[in-house]
Amino acid sequence: MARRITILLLAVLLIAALAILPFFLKAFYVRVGLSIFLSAGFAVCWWLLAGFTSYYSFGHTAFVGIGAFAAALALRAVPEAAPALQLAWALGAGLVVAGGIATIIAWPILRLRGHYFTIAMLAVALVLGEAVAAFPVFGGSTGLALPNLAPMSVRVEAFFYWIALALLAVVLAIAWAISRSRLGYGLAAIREDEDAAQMLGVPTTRFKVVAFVLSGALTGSIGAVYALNLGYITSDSVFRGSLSLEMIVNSLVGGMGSILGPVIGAAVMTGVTKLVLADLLEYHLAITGILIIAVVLLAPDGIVGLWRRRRAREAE
Amino acid sequence: MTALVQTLVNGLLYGGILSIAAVGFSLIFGVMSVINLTHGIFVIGGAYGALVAWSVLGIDPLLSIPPLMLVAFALGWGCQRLVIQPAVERGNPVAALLVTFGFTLIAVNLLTVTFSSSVRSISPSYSFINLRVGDISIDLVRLVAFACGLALIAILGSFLRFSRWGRVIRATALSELGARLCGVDARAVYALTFAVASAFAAASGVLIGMMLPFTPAEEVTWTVYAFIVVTLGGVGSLGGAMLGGLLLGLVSTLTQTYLGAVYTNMVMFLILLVTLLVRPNGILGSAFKASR
Amino acid sequence: MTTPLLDVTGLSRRFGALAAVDDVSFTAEAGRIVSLIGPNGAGKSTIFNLLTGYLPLSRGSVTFRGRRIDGMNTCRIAELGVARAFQIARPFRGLSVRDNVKVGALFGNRDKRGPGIVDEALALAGLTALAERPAAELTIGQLRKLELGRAFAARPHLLLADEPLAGLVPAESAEILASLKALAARGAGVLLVEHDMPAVMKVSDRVIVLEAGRLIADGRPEDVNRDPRVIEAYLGQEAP
Repeated sequence: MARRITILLLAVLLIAALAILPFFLKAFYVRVGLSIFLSAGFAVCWWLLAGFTSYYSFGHTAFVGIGAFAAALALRAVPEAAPALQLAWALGAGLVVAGGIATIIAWPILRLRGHYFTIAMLAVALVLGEAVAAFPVFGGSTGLALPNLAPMSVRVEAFFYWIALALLAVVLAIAWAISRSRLGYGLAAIREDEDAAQMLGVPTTRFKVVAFVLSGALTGSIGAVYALNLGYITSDSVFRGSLSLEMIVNSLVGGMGSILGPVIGAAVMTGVTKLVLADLLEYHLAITGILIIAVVLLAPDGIVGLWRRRRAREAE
Repeated sequence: MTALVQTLVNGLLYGGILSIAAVGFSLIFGVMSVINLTHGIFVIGGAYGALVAWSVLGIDPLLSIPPLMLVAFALGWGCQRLVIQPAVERGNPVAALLVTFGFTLIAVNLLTVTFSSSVRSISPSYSFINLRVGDISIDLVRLVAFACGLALIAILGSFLRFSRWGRVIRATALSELGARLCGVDARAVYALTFAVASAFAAASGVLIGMMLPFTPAEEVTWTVYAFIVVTLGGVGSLGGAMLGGLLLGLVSTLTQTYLGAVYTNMVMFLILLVTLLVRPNGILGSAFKASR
Repeated sequence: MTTPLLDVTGLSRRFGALAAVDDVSFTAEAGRIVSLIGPNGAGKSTIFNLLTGYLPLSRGSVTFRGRRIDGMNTCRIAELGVARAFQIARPFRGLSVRDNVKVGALFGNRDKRGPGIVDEALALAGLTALAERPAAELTIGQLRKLELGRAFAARPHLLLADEPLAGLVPAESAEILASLKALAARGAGVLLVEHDMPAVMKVSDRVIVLEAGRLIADGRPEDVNRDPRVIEAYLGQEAP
């Protein structure tokens, strides 16, 4: 109990510290922070499904795209509302539409296991991306613009920095709550051995659907923020394979075995990309590739895994 | 009527290319159960190799196929041994997949730095010749590429069927444990499989380079097409890759002609999704082993 | 007469032309250990698969606590209080022993209440000392205990134990038998499939003998032991 309160206090302190950072940092660093929070948020959403159940989606950008376009289209309906209301409306639209579509595809797609689920999610993302590019409602190849909702008194990057931080905190809290709940234990059982879980009375189908829909809906709401921050979206910019891959890579680099894995992975990967490799832009892809191979071969449980192993060794 | 026949002919020719461009991917998935994301880069690498041979050395693309296959074979062998095998031995299927992704990023980067990201194409002297049969016109290049594709598939087929190593590959695909108990070195078989698959991917890349413009980033397209072909036709069988490729080629050109080019990819991806949901083992089913 | 815990009537399952289980009827009572014995291929495991809903029945009915459960899915049957321990242990390798047992406690039988279930099941299965160990590190004997512990935590009304003694040394076998008895003493029914005849004869209240999918004897261990058909079909082969 005491440990739980300590963790909670530390988390609150950390979030407060991160929240006041924009007052002291240059715009560039605030934007780096914003990128980290967004990719950490996406990675945690992906991890909600993959980390709990080992269903590795290769097409989570589908939910980013759905959230982004749902927000853009929803905002057209309320051009005159107060910015705060518009923001809530856009986030809600991303959450609900992504969650709704996730609910529709969950049952058929979750019957597939292993590689087949992975590829099927890739196909979902590809189909939706092409459909959005093909149909004029979504602006076709020219895309859609979103209004700037940041108040005049606040720097745009700081505004989105706070929103992304808040969303990340919410997503992490949800993941943490699940991990200690009956749902969390059931999902872990599914991850370890789906058939044995079912024999023990875990309602496997229902639990997988819940995890999938939750993961999709939350990805959609962060997708809405992602779109608002971009200000202008096309099918290519939000239905982007590299977005799906970043969620996977960040989670693996950080470590699949812990909720903090995806966050640490996103911080390291985004930090390395934006700060260390800023001058090596030409070789950015190659270095990312080397990093991925190195992590998989040398630190298969990610950074968190390395740290845990070290602590275990010290304890002995 | 003529338009339909013309579309069907184009579809079959394109489908033949899609078939040969997918056999390597299919082989690796069938034998090693690894989703090989490096596939597309070997295809595109083949196209760039032919470009160099043609523009620098003046070698006809078709003649550059055998040496390029050798190079790709060696590269594939090395890549498998150094990078992919250690990941396969981790026992986590996603580890292998990620490693192939990492390798692809490196290769795309190197290709982009070397050749820039601008669109390239190879146009040998015969590339603008049209054959006419009645009202149907056929690009000579496409016909030649189609024929070469079929020949390559036949070569690979007889290698797998009749050669000692081909039989070992098929046996390993059926049961790795069984093959190992019979004294087969599974690691050597995996390396060989990967090398052969890479060689055939590069060969298909040469043919593609003769027909279509390409950039380093195009590799994604060819990996995804290979996915679709293999999913349609079934994992690990050459017949499946043939069937899947031809079907996909027909669907692609029919959609393009009758619905519009913007819908082509959407329809192709939709077919991938529906096939997975309805018949996850493909139309012919898995020739080598049950899917997991 | 009170209704039995489990009432199986005319249970049949065909695989193509093979009748793996052919018109088998028996009952199991609360607080009793009933053993299913028979040579390999007699249909014992198929019966477990049918009772847990893992395989659909070809014919017959299964009534559990007055309720038809044939046709229900695996998970629903588990929620009604049927637990199964596999012969080849299927632990959740990535979780600790305690968390494995906790999954059993959180799911399965719906009408259990109260804290301490996990510790109780750990104690009953003799796992208390191993509670914080990762399941991946256990020995075969310990895994078997974990398999039972997970089932105990579900507080089952009926436990199906599939060869819980196979491959264990005598000391481990004795511990497992003791925990099965303790479970029965708390009022649960136990269906036991086991090849270790001395153990079966010692621990069972009733023994059901199957051969080639058919029930050939059902009675007290000492009676079954003397049944000439049983001796011919099964025990005769075991002790030449």
